[in-house]
Amino acid sequence: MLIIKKIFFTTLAIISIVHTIEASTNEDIKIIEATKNIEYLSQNIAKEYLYLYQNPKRIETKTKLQNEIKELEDNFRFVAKNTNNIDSKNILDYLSYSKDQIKEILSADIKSENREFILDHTEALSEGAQSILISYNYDPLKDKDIKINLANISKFYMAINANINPTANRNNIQNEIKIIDTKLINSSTELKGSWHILKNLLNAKEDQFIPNIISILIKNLENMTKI
Amino acid sequence: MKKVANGLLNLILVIVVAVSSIYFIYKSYNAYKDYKIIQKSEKNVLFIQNLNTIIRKIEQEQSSSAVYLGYGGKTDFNQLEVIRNSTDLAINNTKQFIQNNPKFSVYEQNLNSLLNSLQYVRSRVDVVSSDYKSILFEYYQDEISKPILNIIQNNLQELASGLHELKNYISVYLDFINFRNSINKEKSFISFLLAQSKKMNNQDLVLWDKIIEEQIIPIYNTLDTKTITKIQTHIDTQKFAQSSFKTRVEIAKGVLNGDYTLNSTQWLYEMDKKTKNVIQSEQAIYKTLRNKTDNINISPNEIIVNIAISLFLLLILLYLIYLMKKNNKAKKNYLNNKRKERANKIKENNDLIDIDYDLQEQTANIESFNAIEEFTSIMKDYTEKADKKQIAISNYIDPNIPISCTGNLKQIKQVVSNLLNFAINSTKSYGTINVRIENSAEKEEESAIKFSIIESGIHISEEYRHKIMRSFYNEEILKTENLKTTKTDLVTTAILVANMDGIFEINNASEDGTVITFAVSVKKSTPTTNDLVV
Repeated sequence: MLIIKKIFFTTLAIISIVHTIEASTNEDIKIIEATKNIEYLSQNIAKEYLYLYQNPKRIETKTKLQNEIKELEDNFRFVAKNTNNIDSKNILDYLSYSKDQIKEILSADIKSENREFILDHTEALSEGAQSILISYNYDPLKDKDIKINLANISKFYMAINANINPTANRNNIQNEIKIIDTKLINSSTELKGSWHILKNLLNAKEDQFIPNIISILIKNLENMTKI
Repeated sequence: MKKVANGLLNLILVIVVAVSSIYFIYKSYNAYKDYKIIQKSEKNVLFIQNLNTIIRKIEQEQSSSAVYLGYGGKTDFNQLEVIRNSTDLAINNTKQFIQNNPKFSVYEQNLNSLLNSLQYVRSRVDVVSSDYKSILFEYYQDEISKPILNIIQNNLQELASGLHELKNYISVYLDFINFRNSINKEKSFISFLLAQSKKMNNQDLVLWDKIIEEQIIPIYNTLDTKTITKIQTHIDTQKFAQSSFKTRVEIAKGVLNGDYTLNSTQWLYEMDKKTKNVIQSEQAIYKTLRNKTDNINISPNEIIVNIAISLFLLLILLYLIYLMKKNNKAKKNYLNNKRKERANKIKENNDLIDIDYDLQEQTANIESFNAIEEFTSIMKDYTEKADKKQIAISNYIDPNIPISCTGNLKQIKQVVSNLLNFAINSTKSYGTINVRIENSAEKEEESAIKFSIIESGIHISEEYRHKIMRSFYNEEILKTENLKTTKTDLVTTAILVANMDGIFEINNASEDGTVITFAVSVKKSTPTTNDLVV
């Protein structure tokens, strides 16, 4: 009877621990996803802003930017509400300033001088998000998702055309290309084929600037990796 | 008071009629202006529609030429020929329209050069020139479509400047035309590449990217709900963007090797669907534009009625002004007559003295007289009169007064009588009147006789004293104030004294009472025997 009792309590304790670990893991996954969204959205916002500066009549890009900043705030709130990690909380605290700055810039008219501010603040957000991810033992290289890498490429591509650190941004693009190449080694032929086209266009001559075609191809790849 | 009210009423009437006529003139002017704009607008809208048809035909020809070139002339040429003919027909129809509406004749030259450019570009298509970019973009786009698009834009802008309420519609309509044209650019360019299965070089990619960039779905939410709904049935912005994205992805997949997953027929089908939707949206806006211009249509009758009312009111206004002027003249005459009447009345009221007032006559009555005798006689008459009223009257006649004088005795007697009358009438019973007749100054041939009447019982107001003195100094005689008979005596008296170049004074400040003084000069004359006896 005593043995049965022991077995029962031990089993109960194990179930409880497993359940707690599982719950905690699920919660962490959600936080990691939200943090990855922060990184992705911050890069996208920078890219959209640079694109809008060149195409101010594109109302849909303006609307997209407004939606993205709202989404960014939602993800911010989610991480802040759910994380127990003190470091993450501190980072978020620090990042909220950049987020507010981005929001302020987006609410004003599009200006040339704001392009660099946007790049700086979104970069701060991206780096901050990466720090949070590290605190959750997340290794970006192990993640097969190329969404963030594609967003980075978009941003760097637009920055080159805006003549903002062109050499550094070209190098950044090359780094991202290498990462994606690695990530897609075992991917489908179709995905690899689409990536191959994009990679070729990104590696084309320096004077060839085709943001709309690049954007179409990136969006297509994003859609393909979603599936 | 009644006259003032009448005057005010007339003035209000004139203002009301003037304001009404200005309002109707303004209304007539606006109606005429709108009528002209509408008339012009109707033609402008039709002209724009004609040009738009030309552009649409050219767009069809451009994409068909692209396919023909892409396939190296191995497609059905007749099909292209049919499209070319329909372009020519659209141009000729517009030329006919210009002939019927000479105000557009400035554009005839543009149509002629359009035909020349078309002839040239067609000949290059016919020989399947390899310079597809020059044919599709330099000629079909820049040389042929663009000038017509500019004319459309100018005419639409002119229309918008006259019809402000339609500005949004005109602007969106123009956006849709440009949108359709940019779709056709992409359609033609990609058609050629697909037909040739040609991979894109750097220039092609940059060109395609630029075309994509130009393609902005017009924002039409500023239009009325009905038109928005109509447009939405043809163009759902999100679906439209999504379908463009899908086809472009398919094209992008083949840019490196020309191995496109889409053939030119599929591509043309997709693009024709898009173009059709845009044309239907354009037509929805065009219909609304036409309806709106019809609704603000103004018939010439409306202008005529407004002008007639304006003229009628102007005539009334002129008549009223004429009447007002006439009334003013009548009023002036009336016042003059009244003044004359009043003067006559004064004359008549002077019933106590039967002396002719005619001053001319008075001055003519110069005669020799015995002054002391005459004055004594007058004083005697008035002493009796004063007695009856129980007024004590005393007099002093200066013995130095020349015995025989020459002057206007009638007037002097009238003045003295007036003053005595006035004194007796205005002095209460038991009052006193002192009369002094003195020789106040003397020269060799002349002598000044001064008459002073001192009354204890009356006081003459300053205002009245001024009036009397004004009369004396030949200022306006008796204006509008009604004066009592006795008082008018003093005024008349003052005038009479002034007429004799005498001196007239009224002094209220004397201790004895009111002192009225007058002095006249008389000529000394040789006394007669009778004078000496006295």
